[in-house]
Amino acid sequence: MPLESDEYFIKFLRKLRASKSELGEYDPAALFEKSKSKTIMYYANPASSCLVEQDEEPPHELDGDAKKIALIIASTLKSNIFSEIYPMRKTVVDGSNTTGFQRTMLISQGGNFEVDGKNIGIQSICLEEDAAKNLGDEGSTRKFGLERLGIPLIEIATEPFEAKPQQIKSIALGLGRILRSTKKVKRGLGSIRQDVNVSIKDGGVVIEVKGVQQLEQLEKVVEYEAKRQYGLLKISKKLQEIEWMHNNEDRRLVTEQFKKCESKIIQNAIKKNQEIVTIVFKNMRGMFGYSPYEGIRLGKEVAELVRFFGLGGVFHSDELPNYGIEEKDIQNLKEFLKINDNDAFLVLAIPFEMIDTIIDQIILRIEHIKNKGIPNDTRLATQIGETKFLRPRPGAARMYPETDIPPILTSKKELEDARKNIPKSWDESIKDLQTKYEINEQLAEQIFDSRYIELFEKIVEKTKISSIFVASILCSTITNLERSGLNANLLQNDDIVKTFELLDIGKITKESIEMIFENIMAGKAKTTEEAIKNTSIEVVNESDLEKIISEIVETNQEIVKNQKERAVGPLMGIAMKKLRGKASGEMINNLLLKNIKKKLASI
Amino acid sequence: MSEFRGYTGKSLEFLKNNRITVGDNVKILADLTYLGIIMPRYEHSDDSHLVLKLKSGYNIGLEIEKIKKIEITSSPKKNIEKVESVEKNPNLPKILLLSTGGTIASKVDYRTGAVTPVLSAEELNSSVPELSKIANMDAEVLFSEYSENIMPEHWLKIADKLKEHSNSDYSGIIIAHGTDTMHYTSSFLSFALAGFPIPIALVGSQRSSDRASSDAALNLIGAVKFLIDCKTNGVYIVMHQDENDETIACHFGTRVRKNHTSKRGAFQTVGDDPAFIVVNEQVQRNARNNFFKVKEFQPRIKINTKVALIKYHPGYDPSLLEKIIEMNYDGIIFEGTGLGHIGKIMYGNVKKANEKGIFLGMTSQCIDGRVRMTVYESGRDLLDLGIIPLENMIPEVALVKTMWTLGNFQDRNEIKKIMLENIASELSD
Repeated sequence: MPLESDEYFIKFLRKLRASKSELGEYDPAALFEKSKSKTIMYYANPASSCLVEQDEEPPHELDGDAKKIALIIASTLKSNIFSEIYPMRKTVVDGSNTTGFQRTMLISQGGNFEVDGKNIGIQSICLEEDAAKNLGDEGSTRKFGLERLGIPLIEIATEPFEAKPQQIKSIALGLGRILRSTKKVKRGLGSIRQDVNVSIKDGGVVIEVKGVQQLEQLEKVVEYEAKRQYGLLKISKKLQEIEWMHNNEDRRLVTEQFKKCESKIIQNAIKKNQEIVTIVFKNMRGMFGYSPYEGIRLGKEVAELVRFFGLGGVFHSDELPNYGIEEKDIQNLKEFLKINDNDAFLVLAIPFEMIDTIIDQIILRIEHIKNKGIPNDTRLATQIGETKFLRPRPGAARMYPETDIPPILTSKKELEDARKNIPKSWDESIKDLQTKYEINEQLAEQIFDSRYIELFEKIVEKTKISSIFVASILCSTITNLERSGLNANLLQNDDIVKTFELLDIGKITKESIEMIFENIMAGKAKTTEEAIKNTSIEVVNESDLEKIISEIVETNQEIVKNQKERAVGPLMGIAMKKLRGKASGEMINNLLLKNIKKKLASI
Repeated sequence: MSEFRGYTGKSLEFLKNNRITVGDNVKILADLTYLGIIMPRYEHSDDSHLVLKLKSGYNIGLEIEKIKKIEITSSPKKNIEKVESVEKNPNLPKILLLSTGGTIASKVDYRTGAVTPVLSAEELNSSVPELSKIANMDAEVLFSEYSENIMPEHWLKIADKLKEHSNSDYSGIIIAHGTDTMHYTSSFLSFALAGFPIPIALVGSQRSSDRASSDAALNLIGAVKFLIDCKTNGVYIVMHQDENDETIACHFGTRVRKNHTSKRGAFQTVGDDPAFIVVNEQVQRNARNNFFKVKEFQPRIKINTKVALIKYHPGYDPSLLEKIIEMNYDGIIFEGTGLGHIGKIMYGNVKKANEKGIFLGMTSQCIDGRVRMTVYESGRDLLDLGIIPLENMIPEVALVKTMWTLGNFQDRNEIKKIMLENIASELSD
């Protein structure tokens, strides 16, 4: 089991170089990454990685479980499995793989599944390796942790389909349910990731959006991406009407001219030894600020690209004066550049050695938008459901055989085993749950969709606690606590089981469970035992309980006198304050009633 | 490349019957329709599959039995690689690169995964463009062999080639070499070309150059910097110092071993720091002494390969040694235990070998440290039997030195004297 830990005992430095790929060409994405000239620092923990992940030892054999699961999933989706599977290297030089490539193999092609009566085709199923975890940048050094590197991933690509954004969520959910029916797929943030390829009709290109973690994001991302593509086509059309060509004279170093500018961003950049650079765009006035749809502008496209290189400062003439750059600065600049009112310009702060690279990339992108329309990007989904530039979309040039591993054969027996393990359909699984555990359909669906299905079955089997109660704790109580801002990841499966076991033997009460989970999820306790101690909810024994109850009745004689047996209501409130979680409500109620009766008889 | 590379039996017949060769673009109708290029097959594969490269770049194996129809869509596209020639800058120092094979001097055929030899000057400059900024590179392919296939005759060939360049205006010479036996080659060159005026660097790589993480480029850049700035001569092995792409270590060619099967920093100077390191573009010297103990260049490029290296171990069968004697070997190097011992069981045959005039040398399987055969009685016995203790010479180096000595000298006393004389830092203090 890989250890997710931020304790790193090993660190080492690498520089990756783009190398010529299979077709004798440099892959655009690889080359682009290289132009960022990053040094990479890798951090590793020997508990979760070895020399293979450090690219200091050849790969070992393919993991048997990973293959088995991939074959089951391929069989479930009725995909055609190849009897000879070829491990390939997919060039990736952003540092996320120590080797400079990702190992990947095509397991099967074709297949389909159904969601709400709609048939969705499967294009391909691949088995590949997860990348290293990006730990952020420090200067020009990028940092990665190796704990996730090499974990098997199964990539399922569907055929392209036309769908309304809201349908996409249900299709993704449907596929997710099939995968989880295999009982081999864990639920949890990141264990199922969706990359969505979006293309609009008439002039759209396939844009690969990575990192959609939640189904809720999907719909927004598709909508945003469609809007961006339509917008870029409009921008492209307008650009074509403008006479503009980039010349080398359009790039000017203007650090001197900005020495007196009061913009904080500019002054900070100069302090950091960055140069201030302008690029003039003849006849382009208004183009950078032109916004065919809200939030879609050429200026934004440029800003994203510049930010990708780790730089912040880029201004375009359509948004100036602003950000501390004043009218007089602009006039000075215009005079210096000898440009007229019809022209546009960009002002950027760039370290000297990166000037050419970055300007080249900006010009390439604008030329592409003008001449060819939407650039072929790989983009990253943002939390709010937009997308931002990640890198150019890699071409076929980036794949070549993994020479360290011979082709992998799939035997007839393995195929048969996989077919035997095809899970029941979603509907059947739900029905099974309902009958087996005597729960209603809604609860069965909830528990099946939650990440706790296996835990649920385990607890119900191990204890005498009612399945409905277990299911509702696992589905609603934990979810509610999560919604109130607590972290369910802190709650380990072992502690959940432990808690139910304690309930089973009467050490704690039903009411305590929420308190224990709350304590752990808030980070106050690490284990069930600790949470019990923190909340002091251990069950009190009967004689102590008797004592506490009779004391309550004694000190509240007035209420008992006035309200007779109905006093149990208000006294219950007082008792619960003291005894919450230490005894069951039913027991407290009974004892109160008994003591009240006794009291009334003695008065 | 053969038209049917890797295909045999049924699959070969299938291709021939359908007039299809490796590299053809085809359309295949099976369970699904596949478009792609027919790829060569690995050796040792079965004869019931075709390998197809799909448009997506993935390779797959298709069972011939399931193929309903196959047709050519277009003939293969020839890749003509454009290699730009590099303009030489007369102000830069000149470096010669001799390529002998191994990972560093090979290129992956990205279509098939097959490894082929390369390293023309142009290819070198296009794959490591940094080199042309620090030196004018000339390159020549001597041969193309993996480490394990390098034989003493290859050593002679390299030495002869180097001798031709002993009066050249090169600032340094690089020998691209497979890593596994690189330290045998460097040892031979150290003795055969004692006093060679131009510094020589053997460079290898532990990760093939097709991958972005290859150590080849940095090792080469480091070697060129080292050769230009070291201000001395000698034979060195130049490789990564450790797992970081940061420091390049330059080891004396007679004091170095490959101590790990796969790490970048596999090469280590035994018992000392590397002679030089290249870090942050700077060449730093650690070595206290010069590599060669002679000032003048004294080439002696001959060899006698009838030398055996015996690793003694508990249970070693002395009749193996007897066999070696019967086979008329001229020298035996023992890799003895600890301070330089072999069991009593060996004495009889050692005595025979000595009487036959075979040179007998002792090194230690401890690798690091000196043999000292006067400490224990058994050591003294062995000295009496005529075994020469070889100080702290590394066993492999002692083997090569014996081959070289026996190839160039005849007199028994002179052989003993040469073996104990420090020629190329093979003995360190």
